[in-house]
Amino acid sequence: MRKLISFFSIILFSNLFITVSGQVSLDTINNEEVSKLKEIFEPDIFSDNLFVETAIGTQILFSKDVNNLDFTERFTPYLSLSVGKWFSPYWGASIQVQGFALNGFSTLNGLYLADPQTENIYGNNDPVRDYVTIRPDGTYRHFIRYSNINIGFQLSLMNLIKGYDEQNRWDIIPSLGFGYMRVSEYMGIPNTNTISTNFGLKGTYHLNEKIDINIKSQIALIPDQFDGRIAGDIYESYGSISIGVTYFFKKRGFKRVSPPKAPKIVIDTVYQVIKQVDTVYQVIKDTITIEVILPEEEAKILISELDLKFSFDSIQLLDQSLELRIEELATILIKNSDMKLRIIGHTCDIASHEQNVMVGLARAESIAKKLISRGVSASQLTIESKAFDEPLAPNTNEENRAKNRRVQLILE
Amino acid sequence: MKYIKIIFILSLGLFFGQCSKDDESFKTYPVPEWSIESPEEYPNSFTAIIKIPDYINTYSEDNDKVAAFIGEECRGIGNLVKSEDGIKRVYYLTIRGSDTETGEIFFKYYNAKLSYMFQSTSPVAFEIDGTYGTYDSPVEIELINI
Repeated sequence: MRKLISFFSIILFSNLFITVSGQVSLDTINNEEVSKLKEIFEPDIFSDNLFVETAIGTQILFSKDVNNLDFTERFTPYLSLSVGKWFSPYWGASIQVQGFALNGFSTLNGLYLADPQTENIYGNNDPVRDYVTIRPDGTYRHFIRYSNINIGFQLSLMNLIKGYDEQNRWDIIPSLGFGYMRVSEYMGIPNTNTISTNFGLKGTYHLNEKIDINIKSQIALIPDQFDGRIAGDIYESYGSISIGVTYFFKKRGFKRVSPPKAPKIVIDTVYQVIKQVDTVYQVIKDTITIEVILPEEEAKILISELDLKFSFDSIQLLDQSLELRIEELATILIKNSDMKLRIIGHTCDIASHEQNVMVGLARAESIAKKLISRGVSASQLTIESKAFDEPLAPNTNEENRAKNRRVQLILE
Repeated sequence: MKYIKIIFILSLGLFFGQCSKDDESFKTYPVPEWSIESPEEYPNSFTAIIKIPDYINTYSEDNDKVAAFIGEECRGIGNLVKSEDGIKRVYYLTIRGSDTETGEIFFKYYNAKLSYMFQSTSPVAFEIDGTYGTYDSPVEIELINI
C-alpha cells in the first residue's frame, strides 16, 4: 500500500512540478511579457501546426535484478512515431506510439504470473526459460517486445518564458502523457496489457519552415508485472534517449490578431467623401472673401453710427445707450494711439452765437471727458465748437433744431 | 547533416544489433559415463545425502547425474530420491574407499537439460562408515560451473 501511495505521489508531484514551473515562469516575467501572453492569435485551420515526428534511439529498463545483465546489454533500440498539433504557441498535444524492445532479466526465484503449468498466478516455471540461454547460475535474459501508445500534452517553455516569437529557433518542450502499453508474446513472454505514465523532455531546433531536429529523453512508469513477471517492486520504468525529426504538414506558427482592416468598398467611399469635402472647401474658398476690417475703418464705421444728440442748452446725451458705443470707440483709440479724433460741438440757433459757441464747446468737452475717463489719451483728442454755423438741417422748426443739437466726430 | 547521417546509421546499427541477440554461450558437456572402475579395491564406504542448490535445481531432470570423486577417480554414483510431490530431490551416494583412504571427496553434478557441468567447492573428508547429511536434512552443496 505504501508503495502504491508512493507511485501515485510521484505522478502527482510530477504534475505539480510542471504546473508550478509554468506558474513561476508566468509570475516572474514582466508586464510586457504578460501582455504578450495575453495576445490573441488568429485561429488556424486544423492542418496548421499539425506535425508528425519520428525518432530513433536507445532505451534501458530499470527493474529489479536487471542489473545482473551487463550494462551494455541492457540497452535496446527505441523507435517512436508521433502525430500532434500545437493548439497555441504555448501548448500542444500528441499521440505517440513507441517501442519496441527492452531487455529484462529473471529474478533468481523465477516468480511468474502467467504460468500455464500451475493454476496459480504465481509460478516458478517461467516459460521464457524454454527460449533463452540459461546461465550457470540459473539466471537468464528476457527479450521484451512492446508498444506503448500514449496521449500527451506538451508545453513550449521558450514561448512561455520569453513570449512567442516566430524567429525562435530553439525550444524546450516538456510533456506528460498517459497510455496503454502492450507487451507482445515473444520468446516465452505472454501478451500483457498495462497502463503507462510517460514523462518527456525534448529540445528542438527549427531547421526550416517544415522541419525540426529534436533530441528527446523520456521516462515511462509501468506496473511491475507489465512483462508477466513479478520482479518485486510495485512499478518499473524504462528510459529512452532519441534523436528525431519533426515535420509540419502545412503552415506552422501563429499569427497575432491585427486591427481589422476595412473592406475596399469602405475605403473607396471614404476617399470619395474626402474628395467631395475638398471640392466644397475649394468652392467656399473661391467664393467667400473674408474682409479684414482695419482699426481705422472700424472706427469710422463706429463713428458713423454714433448719433450724439442733446436736448436744448444741455450737455447730457439724449440716448444713454450710446455710452457703450463710446466705450467701444475708446477701446479702438487706446489700441491705436496714433489715431486722432476731432470732437466738434453743434447747437441750434436759439440764443446768441457766443452762448451757442460755449454750449457747443461744452458738448464736445463732455464727450472728450467720457473718452479720457475710459483711458484715451487727451493728446489724441481735439475739441471745438461750431455753434450753429454748420447746421445739419435749417433751423426752421423744432424738429430740425433737435437734429442740430449734436456732437460731430471726425477721425483724422 | 553529415553528423545526422552518422547518428542515424549508428542508431540503425544499434537497432538491428541489439534487437534480439542472444549471444551468450557457456561450456557444455556430453552426458558423462561415470562408473566405479574397481569397486573390489575399496571395501569401505561413506554415505552422502546431498541436494542441488535451488537456482540450478529449477532446471533439474531425472536423468541428471551426480558422482563423487577422490582425486580423478569416481568413487560413487548418485541415486535420485524424490518426494511424492516431486519437489524435494536428494541424491544418495555410497562412496567407496580403501582401508587407508586419506583423499578428499568432491562432487560433480551434470545438468542434463542445460548440459552444464558443476563441481562442489568444499571437499569432504572420507570416513569409513561415515555419513554426510540425511534425507531430512540433506547437505546443499556449493557448486561452480566448470
